Amino acid sequence: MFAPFFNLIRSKSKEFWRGIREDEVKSLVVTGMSLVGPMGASTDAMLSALDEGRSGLRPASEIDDLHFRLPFSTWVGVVPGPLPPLLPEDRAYDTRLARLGMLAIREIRQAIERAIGRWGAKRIAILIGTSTGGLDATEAAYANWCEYGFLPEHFDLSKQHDFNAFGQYLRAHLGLKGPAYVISTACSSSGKVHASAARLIELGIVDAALVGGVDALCRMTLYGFRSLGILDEGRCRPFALERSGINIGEGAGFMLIERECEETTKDALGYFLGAGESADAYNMSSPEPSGRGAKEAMRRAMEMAGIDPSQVGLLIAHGTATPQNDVVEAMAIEEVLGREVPVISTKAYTGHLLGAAGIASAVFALHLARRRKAPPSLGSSPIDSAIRIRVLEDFAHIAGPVVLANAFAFGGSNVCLAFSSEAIRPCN
Amino acid sequence: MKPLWLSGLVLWSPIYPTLERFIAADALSSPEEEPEVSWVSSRLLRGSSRLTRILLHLAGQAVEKSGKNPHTIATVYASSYGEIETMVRLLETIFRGDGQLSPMRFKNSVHNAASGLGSIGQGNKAFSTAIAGGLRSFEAGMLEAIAWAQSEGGDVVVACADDVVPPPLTVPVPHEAFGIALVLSTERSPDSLGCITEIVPLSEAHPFPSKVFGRTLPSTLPPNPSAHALPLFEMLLQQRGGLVPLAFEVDHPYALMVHPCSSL
Repeated sequence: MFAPFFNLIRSKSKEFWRGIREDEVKSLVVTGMSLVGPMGASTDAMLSALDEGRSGLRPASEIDDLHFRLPFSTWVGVVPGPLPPLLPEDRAYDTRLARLGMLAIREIRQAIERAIGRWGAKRIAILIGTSTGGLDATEAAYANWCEYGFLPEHFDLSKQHDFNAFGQYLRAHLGLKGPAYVISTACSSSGKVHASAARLIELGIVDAALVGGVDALCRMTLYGFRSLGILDEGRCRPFALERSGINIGEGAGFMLIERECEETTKDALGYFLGAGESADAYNMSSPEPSGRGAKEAMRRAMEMAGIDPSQVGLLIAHGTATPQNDVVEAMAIEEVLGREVPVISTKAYTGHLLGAAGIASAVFALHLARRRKAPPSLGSSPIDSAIRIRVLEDFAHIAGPVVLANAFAFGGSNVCLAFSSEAIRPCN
Repeated sequence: MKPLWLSGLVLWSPIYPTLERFIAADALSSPEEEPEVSWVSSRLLRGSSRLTRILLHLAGQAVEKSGKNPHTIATVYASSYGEIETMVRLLETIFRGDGQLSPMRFKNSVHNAASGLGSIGQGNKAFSTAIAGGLRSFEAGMLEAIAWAQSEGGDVVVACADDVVPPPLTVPVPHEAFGIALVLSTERSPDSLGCITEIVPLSEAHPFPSKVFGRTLPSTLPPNPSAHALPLFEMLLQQRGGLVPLAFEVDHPYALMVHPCSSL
C-alpha cells in the first residue's frame, strides 16, 4: 500500500534492517524539522509568519542587522537579532553560516538524539545544501586583507570557507559518525539532499539522514544577481504581472528523515514520499524555454511517490519572480498538474534563500500538508495573464494530502520533492 | 549491493597530464597550464575557472576511455574548495574594483559549474550533481555515485579535483592541483578493471599509504582529496582485490571491497 519508490528499500538485504521486521519498513518518515530565516530566528516564528501571510523582507538600507552596506537598492531577508556565537573552543568554525546552522539545529536536537538511540551514530548521515559555504567569513577576511595587507589571524579557510566545514563541525558536535557531505548545486542544493538521503538509506549504509540547507547573506550573491539584472529594487513579486526580479535572503533549516518503523512512526511529523531530479542541459542561468527539466522533475517526484495530480493539494513553486523563470515554471506546472492545483511561491516571504531554498520549501511543504491551509502567494496580485495556473491570492484550504516543492538552479539543476502528513496509498 | 564495475581511470596534474605518465613518474619538463576540454566548446567555457576545465577534461577522458555514452551518462563532480579561483576574482572586483561583476564569471562561480557546463556541452539530461566533502570529497563523490547507480542503474562518471588555493587566501596544509575520474557501471564491459561488491564502514582512521605505485608521493598531494583515489586506482590497475579506504587521515572512513576482473 506504500509508494513504489520505497518498495526498493523493502527488497534490500535484511542484514541492514538491524532487527526491524521487513514488513515494518515501509516508507521514509520525517521525525524532526526546523527552520530559521527572515521571518524569525525560530521555527515557530517562521511558520507563524507564513500562516499569517507576513513577509520577512525589508529594504536593505533599513536593516541594522545587515553586516555590510550596499551601494545599490534592494530588499533582503535577514535573520533578525544577534546570532549566538559558537562555543569559544569552536571559534575556528565561527561564521555567520555556522551560527545560522546551529540556531536551526538547536530545535531539532532532541529528534537527533532519539535517532542516535534508535540507529547508532554510525548509521546517520548529514547532507547539507549550500551555495556559498562560509563566504561571509571569506569576504570579511578579504576586506581585511585589502585594508591592512593581511588576513585576520582567526580566519581559517579550511574551517570557515570550505563548503563542508560546517557539515564536519556539525558531525563532530552531534557525535555522528556516518557520511557527512555537502551537495552544492546552487539553488537546488538543499532540495537534492533529500533525494541523496533516500538513496543512501536505500543503499543500506545508513538508516537515517539529517538533511538541511544553509546560506548566509553575503555581498557576492547580491552583487552577482545585480550583474545579471534580476535583482528587484523593491519587494519581489512572484507570478505578478509587474514582477521584476528576486530578493535574496538567508536562512537555515533541517529535516530528520528515518526509515519507517513502529518507533519512528510514533515520532512522525509526516512522510517524505519522493524526489524527482533533472538536468536542463540548456543554459547556465536560464531555464529551458519549454520547461522540460521542470516537468521532468515534477513527474519523477510524483512517479516515485506513487501519486497522481489529483492527490496534490498544493505546490510550492520555485517562483523566484524573474520574468522568465516564473512564466516557464508556470507553463511546466500547468502541463504536469493542470490549472486547478493551488500554487504559491514563498519568495516574497523569505527572499530567495539560494542554497537553503530547497529546505525552506520542504519545511513549509510538510507544515502546510499537516495544517491543510495554504497562505497566499504574497505579492502575486495582479497575476500575469500569461500565467494560467491557480496562484493563490488569498488563504485557501488544501484539499489533497500531498504538497510538492520545487527548487531550480543555475546549471539547469532541478528538483521536486513530495511530502504528506500521512502515509499515502499510491495510485495505479 | 549489486556489483558495480569500474573502468575509465584517468588523472591530471600540471606535471603529470595522464595516468600513464603519473605511474611512470614521467613528469613534464614544463608544467601544462590547463588541460584540453573536448566535452564543452570554448565559447561555453568563457569565464570558467581552471578547476572547471580540469573536471570537464577528466570526466570527458574517463567516459571516452570506458567507451560509455557521453550524452547519457550520469555525472558526479566533487571538490573541496570548488570554484575558489573565480570567487577570488569576484572578490577583487567587489573590494578593489568597480563592483560591476562579470555576469559570465558570476554564473560560473557556482560549485556545480562543471556539472552545468558538462550537461549543456554534451546535451546530457542525465542525473548530475556537485559534491563537497573537505578531505573526504572523493569518498563523498563515490558514495553519491554508488547510491545513484544502485538505485537507478546504468553508468555514472565521478570526477574529483581541486586546484591550488589562490592568493591572498591560504590553507594550513597546502595542496597541489590534481584530479582524477573513473566510471562506475551496473554492467560489466570489456573495459572493466574490476568490481566493487560492498561498502564497509571502518572504525579507525587510516594513514595515507607511504607509497603509491611504488613511490613516495610529495607532501602536497595527500591534502588534495582527489589523491585519495590513488590506492583504489593502484589496486585496480595491479589487478589486486581487497578492501580499500576511500579517504585517509579521517575518522570512520568508508572502504570498498574490490574484486579484480582477472579473478572473476
